[in-house]
Amino acid sequence: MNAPDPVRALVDRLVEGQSIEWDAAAIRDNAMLDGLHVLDEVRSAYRRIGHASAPPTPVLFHWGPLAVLDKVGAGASAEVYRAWDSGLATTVALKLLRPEAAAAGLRSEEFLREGRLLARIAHHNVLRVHGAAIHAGRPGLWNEWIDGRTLEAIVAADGPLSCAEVRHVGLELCAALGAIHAAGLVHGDVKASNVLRARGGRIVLVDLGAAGTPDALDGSLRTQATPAYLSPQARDGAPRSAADDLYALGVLLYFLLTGTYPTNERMDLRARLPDLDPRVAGVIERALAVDPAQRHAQAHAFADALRASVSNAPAPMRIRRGWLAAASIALIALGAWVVWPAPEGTAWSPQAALVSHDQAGVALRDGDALAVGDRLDLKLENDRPTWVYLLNEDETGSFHVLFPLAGLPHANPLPRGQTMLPGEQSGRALSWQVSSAGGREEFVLVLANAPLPWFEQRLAGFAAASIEAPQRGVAQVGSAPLTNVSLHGRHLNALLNEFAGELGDRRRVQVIAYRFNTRASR
Amino acid sequence: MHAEETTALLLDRARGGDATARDRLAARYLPILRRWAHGRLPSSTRDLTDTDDLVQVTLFRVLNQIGKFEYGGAGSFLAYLRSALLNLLRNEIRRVARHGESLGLDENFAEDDAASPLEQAIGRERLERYEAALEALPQRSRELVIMRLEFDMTYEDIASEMQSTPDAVRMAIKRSVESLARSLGGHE
Repeated sequence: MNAPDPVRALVDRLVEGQSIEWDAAAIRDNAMLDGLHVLDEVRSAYRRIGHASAPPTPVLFHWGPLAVLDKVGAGASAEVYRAWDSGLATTVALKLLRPEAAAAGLRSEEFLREGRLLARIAHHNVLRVHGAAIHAGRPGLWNEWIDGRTLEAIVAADGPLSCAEVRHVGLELCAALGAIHAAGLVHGDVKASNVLRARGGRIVLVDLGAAGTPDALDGSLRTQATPAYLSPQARDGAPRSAADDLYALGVLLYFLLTGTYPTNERMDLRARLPDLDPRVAGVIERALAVDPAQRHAQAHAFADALRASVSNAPAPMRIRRGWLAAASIALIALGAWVVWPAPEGTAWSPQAALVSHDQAGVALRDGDALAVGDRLDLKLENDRPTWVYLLNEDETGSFHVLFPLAGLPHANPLPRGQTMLPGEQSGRALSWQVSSAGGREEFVLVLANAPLPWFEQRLAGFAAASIEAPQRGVAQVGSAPLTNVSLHGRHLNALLNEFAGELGDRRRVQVIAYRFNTRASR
Repeated sequence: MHAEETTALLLDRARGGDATARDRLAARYLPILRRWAHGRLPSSTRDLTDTDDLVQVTLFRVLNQIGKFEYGGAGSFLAYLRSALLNLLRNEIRRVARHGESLGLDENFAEDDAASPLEQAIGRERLERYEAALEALPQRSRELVIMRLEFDMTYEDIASEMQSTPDAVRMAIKRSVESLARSLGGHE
């Protein structure tokens, strides 16, 4: 007897309203899995919100829309409660500023800053914020309730973790830090007590109370970090950066393996654990190198090293959903360019073109026929550092940020000279790949000679493409200045309208729109 | 729900001025729409009475103008009500946003305040992706999905609404959900 089709089996459970173990789902098609997961979330949310509205009892007190149930923790400036959100019909974690802290001068704005930072990051491994407000004079922020334990509590109760568990935690936290760093932030306090393992295994990085942009992490914030996790440079008072988070992650992985912290003088991981896989030991030792130049440069590089420690194969591309696909074809010189004339009076004159990855880098033009399987790159040539944003929306309204992306070696600003995006990873060329036919695909390319902070902040709330399997398709390409293109995509239109002022500064920003129609094959 | 009182029949009678038929339609759909709407109103306007009022206003507005509704086949009246209610809720959200019922915090918090429980639970981008994919489904598939996933109706009630059998609607719903998931995942 044939085994039941796993997609049909999941659809059955979803439609019948039965719970689904997503981690155990035996579907290799990640895009299908993602689609089913969204539908399960929709169904579950409607059921939860529609049916339940009464809070569990007893209620300690009410704070705004929340019924506060019990206190679960307290620090110097804040108290944490379990609360019931009747709107969401679910339990939430509520963090309230202590009145004494307010009296001592901690301003509401400073306290609520954590919620503002969390709101910029939408990632499975970072705590999701639900809201922030001031009620009855008390500032508070509430976020998802994680039913689980901190890694510190787990090590204290059960002892150090296995090598495989540590590797898994490391990969999940690399993903979390990649998202935080891609938002231009530094966490600032990565440690075992700030990482939760939810029932079911999800790893969640919490407490962005010490986080901020590198520039904003001044001396007062530095003191909030836990000394055992500080890099030698941070201990010496150097400005904080994303590299310090990665050092702290190295300390955390060391702690999870040994239950102790590394000393300044000697990295003794292999001496402590002679049976430890030397490849894993090497990855952690590298993260803890005294010389920053010897450490993993970025979160994705740390993750790649951890993955590579599983086998000798090159680091695999994780494919969940999106546009990036691995490819090994060498890039060749381009044909024509789409050139946006620079406004008078400025020397900044970036040139950009979407090019065919498979046809010797030929620039795509109106009327070119593309089909499923075709791969695209973006070629950029600029005479000064340039910030690049590439957005895509398809006919169904599915919207993705294609660049910048956490995990890519290229990041904004791109240096002067010639750059091919999405670029390479671990020696393999990446491209955006066409994988489905029928319908409209629109792209907006924004080039700027300075950061666009509000625009970036808005983009952080949208789904980013992930480095994974090809999904969609293209057939005809058109390119023209935005003013000459009428976009259909509602997300793109809304975004461009919202930022018309910021994007309309022709001295600083250039915008190019593309429209594609898809077809199955040439 | 009684088989002899199909939506089509009640709509016909309501169009002819039968007040009892109108009341029966209201009684049939009010609780379903109320439950559905609670997840759609943002926290800034999240009050049980507000939501219930809006649902009631929408339903009675539609029923009072029942002559304008063109019956497009089984299930379409519920989808029509959902669409009307969704538009009204969106207008309400915009109205509240214009009046600035925020706490004087920055824009991030004003945005959070304007998110409905459903948006907060699922994420705005995912919900919009779902809405767009749903819109792209054939009408009958769309209505089946809405009745099962959003309104949480039983197969028997859906069958009655669609003038079909429970087994047939069960199979049709599964096919529609699979197709929707494929579209959401970017296969189509």
